Amino acid sequence: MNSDGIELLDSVRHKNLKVDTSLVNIPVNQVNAAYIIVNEIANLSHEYPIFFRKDANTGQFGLVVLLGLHSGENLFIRDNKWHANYLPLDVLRRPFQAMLKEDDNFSGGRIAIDMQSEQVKAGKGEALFDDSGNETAYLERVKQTFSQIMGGAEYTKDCMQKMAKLNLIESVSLKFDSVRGKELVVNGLYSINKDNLAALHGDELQLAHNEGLLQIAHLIMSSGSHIQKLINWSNE
Amino acid sequence: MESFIKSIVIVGGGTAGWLTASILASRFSTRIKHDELTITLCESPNIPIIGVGEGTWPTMASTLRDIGVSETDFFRECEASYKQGSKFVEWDEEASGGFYYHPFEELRQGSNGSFAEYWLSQNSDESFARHFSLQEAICEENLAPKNITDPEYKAKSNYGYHLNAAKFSAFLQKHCISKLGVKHILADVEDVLINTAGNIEAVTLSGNKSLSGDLFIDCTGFKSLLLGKALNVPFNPVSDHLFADTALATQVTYSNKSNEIMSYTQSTAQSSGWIWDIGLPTRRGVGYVFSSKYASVEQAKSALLAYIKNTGGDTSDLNVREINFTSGYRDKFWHKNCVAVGLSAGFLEPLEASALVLVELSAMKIAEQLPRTNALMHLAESRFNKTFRYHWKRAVDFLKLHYVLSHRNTPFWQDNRNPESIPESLQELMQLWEHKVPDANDFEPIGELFNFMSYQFVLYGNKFSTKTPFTADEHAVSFVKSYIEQNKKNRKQIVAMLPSNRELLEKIYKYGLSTI
Repeated sequence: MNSDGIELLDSVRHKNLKVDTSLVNIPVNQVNAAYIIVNEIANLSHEYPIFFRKDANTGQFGLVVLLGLHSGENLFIRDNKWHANYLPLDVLRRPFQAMLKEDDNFSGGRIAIDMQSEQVKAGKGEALFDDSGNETAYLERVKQTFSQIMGGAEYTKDCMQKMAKLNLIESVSLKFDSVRGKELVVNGLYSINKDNLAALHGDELQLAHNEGLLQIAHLIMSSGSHIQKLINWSNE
Repeated sequence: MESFIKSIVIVGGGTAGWLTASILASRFSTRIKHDELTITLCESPNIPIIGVGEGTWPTMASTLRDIGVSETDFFRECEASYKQGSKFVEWDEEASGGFYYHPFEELRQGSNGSFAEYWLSQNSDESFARHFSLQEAICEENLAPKNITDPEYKAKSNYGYHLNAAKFSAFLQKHCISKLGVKHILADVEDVLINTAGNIEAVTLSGNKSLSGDLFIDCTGFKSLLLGKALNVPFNPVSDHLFADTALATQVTYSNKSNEIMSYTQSTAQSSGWIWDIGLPTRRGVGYVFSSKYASVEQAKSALLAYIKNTGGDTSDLNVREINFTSGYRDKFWHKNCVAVGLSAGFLEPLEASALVLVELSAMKIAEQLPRTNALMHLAESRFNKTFRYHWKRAVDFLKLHYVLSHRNTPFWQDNRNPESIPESLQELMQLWEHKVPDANDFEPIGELFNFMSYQFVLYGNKFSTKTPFTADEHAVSFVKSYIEQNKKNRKQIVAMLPSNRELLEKIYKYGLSTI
């Protein structure tokens, strides 16, 4: 085990390990944004406001769902329940993570588990391996989640780069008045530049259409209506 | 019939030539597109560029943005790194280890200079720069001025660049030709044809060609082929004030790939001048600029080698280049239909990296003043000359100030403090500043190359004492105090937040900076 408590998944060492998936209100979920991949947008846009955000380490645009209005605030979690029909894959994967050979190469990774996670430390819940050491249906679902994430990550990155190149992304600053009378600002978010989207024409428009960028842009714009939901929840 | 200015010919293709071409061509892109103006740059395929101008001011960031280049490409192609100011080491006393910073940060202190007054009244142990600017702390840790998430040209801490001048020149050339519609001719200038009115009619080129134009820009370097040689505009040396006349320049490789890249130009005083040390991602550019009256080339070379050894560099395989110059500038920079930009206009010395900024300002002024017709040329000429005579004169004062404030004892430094070597204008200012701190009103409204804050950083970095006999205004004091408190908080935060210079540059190579 390394100092972070991250261990590469091993059918012998982790034979008896269980994951308590009923624990939702845990520190790793207490965040105000979660990264998503393009493949999830259609589902998530029904319930979450979606934005672009820059990865702190690379400066590259990624997609996030906004979960709260303050750092560390997840308004979707109440009474240890996540109040939505769809959860982002990046949330569902926990307490597992991809072990990457290189920080950029998402495809060659293997799965690791966070031994420090409350879901693991609980000592009960879903088993990873059955008595004869075979992977359980639960672990198979987890693996499927990872294959979806890994499959979508490159595509998402590619879409983000193309959208940035077409100048479809712009910085936004969310400002709203909380019931406590204080103006709150959420920074570091980016959304669709509507003027530039409307002005697309010719080859660029064709490209944006063919690559699915237009659809992504429209889903992101329509998801903006869920911000009001977050503000209402925040004021409750 | 009115004759419109329709063609600009730039002779010489070093950094000055291509930077001028970029600035003019981007400013006049519409005229160029509609064939109302052509800009042609003619350079010799045989003359290498001088290329020691490796430090810029923060003005370069906005210049690059305005001419439409991607900052990511610039970093990737020009071996550029971030510069956030200058650090002057041991300028005050020999072997003292003392230093002061002249940071790029513009302090929000209004025009009355009240920060310095407060600092003087406190007898603080903390340096003036550290007291008010975040950049001393940032530079001491060799941190970048921003994060990878900050868009191109956006700074958390005001910055300029260190760069490889030859690569920068090639980078601008490519941009000028492919994006800005600048025409490029590779040929040697053989003669300059002057008409009866004293204007340049054309330059004749190798291969029996000639190139005519309405306005000629002389970027031919020290030779000053057009303004100096053909038009006989005299050169006025200022070597009575600024003694340096020789530079020994070399390049030092990093001992390993993870060596820190300095976030500032380091300038270390020596017995007969000073040594510059500029950190590029790939190497350091180091050089000793000195006066040949006080040191021989051999002496200077051994001082340079000692410095390189002391700073962890390898001296076994150094290629040292000697550059000779006379500090000074032309009597006028614009004469008839010819204007000189860069070394052809003048050169003082590398201190405070004034060379490239003068190129930027000159090109901008040409763009601003470019007359519509030939008949109006003389107006542009007189305006341009008035502004730049002032800039050069003030630059001499500011550079000289660095030497005058020193307490070093070798003859070079002692002679630098001889009143006869100090321009009268500087003597007057220094007299004034014995009794008040520099503020915006000490200067003429024409605009300063080095503003009063720069003077404050140098004066108080050198422990210059200004008497402050009067009671300070209460409101001013409380503002300064809260500023200092805020500065302390910000300093902690920003130092924790910023990556190292090298770390950020490597990310830029890998991921690029976004434009938004």
